[in-house]
Amino acid sequence: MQTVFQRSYIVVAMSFLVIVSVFLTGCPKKVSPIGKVKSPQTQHNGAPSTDTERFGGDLTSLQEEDMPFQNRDNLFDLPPVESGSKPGEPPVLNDIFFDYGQWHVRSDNLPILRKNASWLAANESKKVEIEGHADKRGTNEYNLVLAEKRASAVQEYLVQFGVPSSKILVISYGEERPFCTKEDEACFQENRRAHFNVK
Amino acid sequence: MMWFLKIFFVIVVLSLQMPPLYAADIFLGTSKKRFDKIPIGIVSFQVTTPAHTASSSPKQPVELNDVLTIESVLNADLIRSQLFRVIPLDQGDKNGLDLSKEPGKAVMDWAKNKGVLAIAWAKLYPIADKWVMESYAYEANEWKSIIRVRMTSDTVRPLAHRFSDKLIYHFTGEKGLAETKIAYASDRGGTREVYLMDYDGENKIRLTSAPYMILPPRWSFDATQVGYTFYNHGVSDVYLVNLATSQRRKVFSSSRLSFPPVWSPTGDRVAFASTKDGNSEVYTMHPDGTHLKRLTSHHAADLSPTWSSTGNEIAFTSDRGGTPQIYVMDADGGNTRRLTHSGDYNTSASWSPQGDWIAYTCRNGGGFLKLCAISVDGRQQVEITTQGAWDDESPSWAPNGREIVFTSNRFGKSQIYVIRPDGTGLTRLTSDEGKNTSPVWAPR
Repeated sequence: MQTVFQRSYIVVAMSFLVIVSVFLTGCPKKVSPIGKVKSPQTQHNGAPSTDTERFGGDLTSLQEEDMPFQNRDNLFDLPPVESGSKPGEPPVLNDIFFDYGQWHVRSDNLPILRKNASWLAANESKKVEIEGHADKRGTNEYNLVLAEKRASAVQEYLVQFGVPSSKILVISYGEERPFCTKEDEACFQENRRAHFNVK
Repeated sequence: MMWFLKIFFVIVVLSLQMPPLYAADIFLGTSKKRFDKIPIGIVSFQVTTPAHTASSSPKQPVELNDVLTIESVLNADLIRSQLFRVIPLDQGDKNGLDLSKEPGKAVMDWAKNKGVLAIAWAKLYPIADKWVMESYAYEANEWKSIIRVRMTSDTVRPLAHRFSDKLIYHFTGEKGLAETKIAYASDRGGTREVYLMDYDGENKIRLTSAPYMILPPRWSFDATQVGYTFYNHGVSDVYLVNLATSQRRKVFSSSRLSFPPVWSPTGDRVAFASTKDGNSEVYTMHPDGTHLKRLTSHHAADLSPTWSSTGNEIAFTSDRGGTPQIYVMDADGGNTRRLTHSGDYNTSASWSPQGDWIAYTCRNGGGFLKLCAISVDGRQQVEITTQGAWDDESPSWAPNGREIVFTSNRFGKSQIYVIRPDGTGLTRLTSDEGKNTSPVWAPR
């Protein structure tokens, strides 16, 4: 009985060793052919007997290439800047308003921005501060960044509309300087704005 | 190879015996419910007036209020630690004991009868313009003295805090919170300024006097400095103030927004968000303002960095997926991955000092901001606050990971509260007429 047990133990142990040796010896062999396929020398030396030939050459045919980004100027089909108010007239820069959580200028606000840009173009000596504001919902830090993105988006449009960027200053007040302090949507909308200060 | 297979086999067997991950208790650094708290008795503190100082001290006459304050502060500190159960001496106990001197055998016998493990006692007297407290603590069973320390302070509250932290350290080996501070922003004086307060909301000190808008403060890794930003007409000036010397120095300046620096736990680097390159990105630099490095590069906003406890990773807020979510990246800016996936508004992450959880501001179904936490592997998520038509925001962990300080407008104006990570133990720290926001707990 003992010898049978010992024998079967040896059989199990040996078969285990065989499996292990397959693992151990198998690994390095696997690595080298992959290395060969990737090396450019074997790809282009014309040797027909390599395994990769069966797959029609390079295993990884997918390649990528960066394309130049389209210039944003071409994305805007802008009408020419109208001749707005005459120099010396009091500033009539209207504020614009944003959707909840958004910083993109709504298309219905573009005419207002065009008008603002026209006035600034006509009054070359004037500078403008764009104040970004957010409603009280949301966290302080995120709202500071969000409000600045709003002001910054407005700045981009003004520049597109011909106002030199050197005349524009972007400021964020986040949720810190609300125009309205009631707790309703009408009030929140009042506070999601870009406000213009002419200097 | 053999040992590898053996270990693999052991792991497989063990994992079969373990309950599924989601069935595991979520243990968020607070004491377990049936944790056996240490019963401690506070024996009435004594006030004495040493003869040689009686005529010279401006603290005369010694006020009973100061003694009562010290006792009640110690009492509150020990209870808030969740490690102690304070056993009161009722009037009957007091009548039978001589409490005018250091506790003797009678007090120890009382303690043993009541099942009290530890006794705290102190003697308070003024010297010149300071308070001196001789603090004593004993293990009742063996009548063994465990703390005998003489402390001196201008005011009495720090004495009680120090005593509490010594007791906590003796019995648990853990550093207490009682001497830690919280920095925050408040407009209680009219303009919005940076303030400090003790961890219990007392002892408020104004740090700034800014003619401009100020951005929320941050602590240095060793709690010796506080950083803040003056934001004046689109220009950010980032300052550090040394709390010991009150010296201020400007470490960074930029057009657009630059938030105050967040120190790595080792203190060798700071991370901060700035919109100086167009939109908000996360940067690191050395604390002196040199070696500036940009970590994120994305047209979406990346902000509010918080370091892992090892300093190897940084969690931050980004709206690159359309809504603000919490992301984690390596401290060199590589290997960015999104951590939060539920909800459409997850911001202002705070990585726990123990490293296992990240608390953040989330938004519930009703559109109100609440506090959430997620395990660093993303597998477990908990809502710390859930109900109510108000906003809870800006979580910041206590250095021991047992409490979170945050802002809430649940009773009108924004005030500062603490809560345990399991949602219990809500305590209000500020209640003045100002708007108090953006609390950050000092490291130890």
